[in-house]
Amino acid sequence: MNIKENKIVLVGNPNVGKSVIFGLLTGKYVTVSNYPGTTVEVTKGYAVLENKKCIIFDSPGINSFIPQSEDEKVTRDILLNQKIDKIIQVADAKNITRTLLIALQLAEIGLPFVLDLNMIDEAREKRINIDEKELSKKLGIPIVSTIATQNQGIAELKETLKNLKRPDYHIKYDSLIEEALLRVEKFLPESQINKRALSLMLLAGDLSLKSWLKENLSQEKLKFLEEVQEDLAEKYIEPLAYIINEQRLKETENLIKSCVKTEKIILKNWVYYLGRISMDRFWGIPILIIVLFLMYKFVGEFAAGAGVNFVENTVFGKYLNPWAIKIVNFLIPIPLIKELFVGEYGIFTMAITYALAIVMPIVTAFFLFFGILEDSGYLPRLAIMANRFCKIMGLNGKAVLPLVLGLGCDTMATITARILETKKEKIIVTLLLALGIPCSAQLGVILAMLAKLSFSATLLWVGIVLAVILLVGYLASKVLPGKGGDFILEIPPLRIPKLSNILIKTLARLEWYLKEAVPLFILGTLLLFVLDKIKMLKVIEKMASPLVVGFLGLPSRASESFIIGFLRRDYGAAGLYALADKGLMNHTQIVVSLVTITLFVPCIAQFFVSIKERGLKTALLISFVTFFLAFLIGGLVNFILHYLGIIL
Amino acid sequence: MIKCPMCGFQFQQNKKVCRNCPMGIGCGQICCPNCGYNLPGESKIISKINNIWERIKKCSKKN
Repeated sequence: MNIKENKIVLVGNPNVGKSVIFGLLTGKYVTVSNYPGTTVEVTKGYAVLENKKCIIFDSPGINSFIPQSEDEKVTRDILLNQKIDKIIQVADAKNITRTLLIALQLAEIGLPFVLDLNMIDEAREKRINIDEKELSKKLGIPIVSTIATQNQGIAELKETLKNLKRPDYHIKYDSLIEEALLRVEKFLPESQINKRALSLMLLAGDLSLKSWLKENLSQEKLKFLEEVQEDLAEKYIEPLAYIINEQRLKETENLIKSCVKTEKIILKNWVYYLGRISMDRFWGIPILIIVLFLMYKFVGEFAAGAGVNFVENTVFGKYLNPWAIKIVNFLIPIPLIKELFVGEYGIFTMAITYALAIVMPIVTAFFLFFGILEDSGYLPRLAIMANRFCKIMGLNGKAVLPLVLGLGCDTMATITARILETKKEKIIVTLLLALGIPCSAQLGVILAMLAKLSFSATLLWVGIVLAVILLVGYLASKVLPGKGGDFILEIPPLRIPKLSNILIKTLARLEWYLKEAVPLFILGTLLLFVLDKIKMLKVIEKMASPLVVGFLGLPSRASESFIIGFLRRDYGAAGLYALADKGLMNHTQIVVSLVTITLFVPCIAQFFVSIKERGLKTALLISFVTFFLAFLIGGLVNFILHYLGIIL
Repeated sequence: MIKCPMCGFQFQQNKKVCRNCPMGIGCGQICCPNCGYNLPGESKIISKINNIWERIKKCSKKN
């Protein structure tokens, strides 16, 4: 047996079955360790192939070799530093575009590799027919089909590994890029990765390469490379990473045209045509307005009207709250503890009542409606429409996705901002999310409050919030260096949603919501209870009076809503809803309070995620800007309405 | 396999992805590894109902 160990690495998109293939190749003896200097785990195992002991690495999933996450950087670094002999690209045969994008980059990297089209059975089921021979001929690499979960094709994969050659496939980029590549290649140090591929990474602005280059190049050469990159970047409006990716995408499309045949059976009924016009530049807008109007009617009028009225006044007002008061009075003799549970700021009479009687019926309706949009396939169409809206602001492509997702949960959407390329884009999207994108729960309560107002007042709220988002987005885009990359969305056909799917998802979302929101509702109520007992609540209300009463023109009790709004914006909105419900605010005050709470800081969870993602300084700055703008714009609306004598 | 309702990417739920997320593993959401869209995880109420249903079916088969 030969002593020399071959190093083989499994590379591919996330969730393509790499780990299953890895398990089949290595057996059970594996070691898992963090890649040096990172928290990313890399699994290493051993196998005997062609009578040689091989080390096999299971690398983290990637979507590109221009790293945009720590996972992708680790995979690229394995190829750069680990003296890899062979690569197995594990691919999901159904996602052929993504597969070929990686394959083309691997071909450029120049290490011997085999393309493993895994899950080929699922691709065939979907009538995706890949001409493997033709594709193999065009790319100059062997291609193997596997069904890893059934151990099919693994023997052939092992056999193919014996005779791997370096690929010789080059994409011809446009002349400006090709010229720059020639200039850069000359200065790059030798490495495992082909110089052309390294040059492309460098031109695409791969900052993670810098530390490696610093170790291997003189300062002068490094400066020259940076100058070439900057010169080239100036010649394009879009970022170079986007341009390079576009040209790879074109090459991929050409390969697909000649090697892949997908039989699509399209039933051209009314749903098909509705699906098409819902993305149309002209007809898409009225359809979007109809969708939003239906949501307003269902969530704002039906759920917040009949739903909340029944749960709040009948279930809680007539039964649950009186029972809770009786039980607490019977069980607890100490007045302070009694009040803690069933007093003005009681856990049951305030936190639980707000959460279950006011917010839950509204949120349930919203989740049901959202489930219909999700299951019908309208969401990607909404993203396309939002993309057009964002283009007005100068934001583009990927930035739309977190903004649309923010309508579900701002906290999760803040994490999604990771998919954006530049730090500035991430900060701007986090700011827009914090400022003007209400989460599902808050949007539900807002719709409920809007239902109490006239149509003109509703339009006024929509107009103000849209204008603020547009203005902030536009100003922010002015400091952006170019546009972000477009995002690949697979537009599914529009379909009639399944009731069972919607109900299951709504129930799961409600469980998640209650688990996350109720503890914070209780915490907020405890805060108000303590502040009230130590007589600080009145002091705060008095201190906030010039701002809340004088500037915003709201009743002094609205301060309480803003205090609890720091924990969750929807809890703050629920507090304002309760004030409006009791008739303590007129229509002008409702609009002012709605504008302020919509633009208010989202919630404590989003704040902590912002710290984690953007750093403490930026998170604090975003919160300060949001807080300042919320009160400033709320106050201006109050002032202008009063000054012009407009009664809503 | 889960198909992302936003971008159409097909994936399997992978807890490894959650390790680098500030929300941690226990947030009850499934994130699309391609676009970050979050779907609700399995409802505990429904899984408990399913478990009970399975037990009832087993018991009735035994009898």
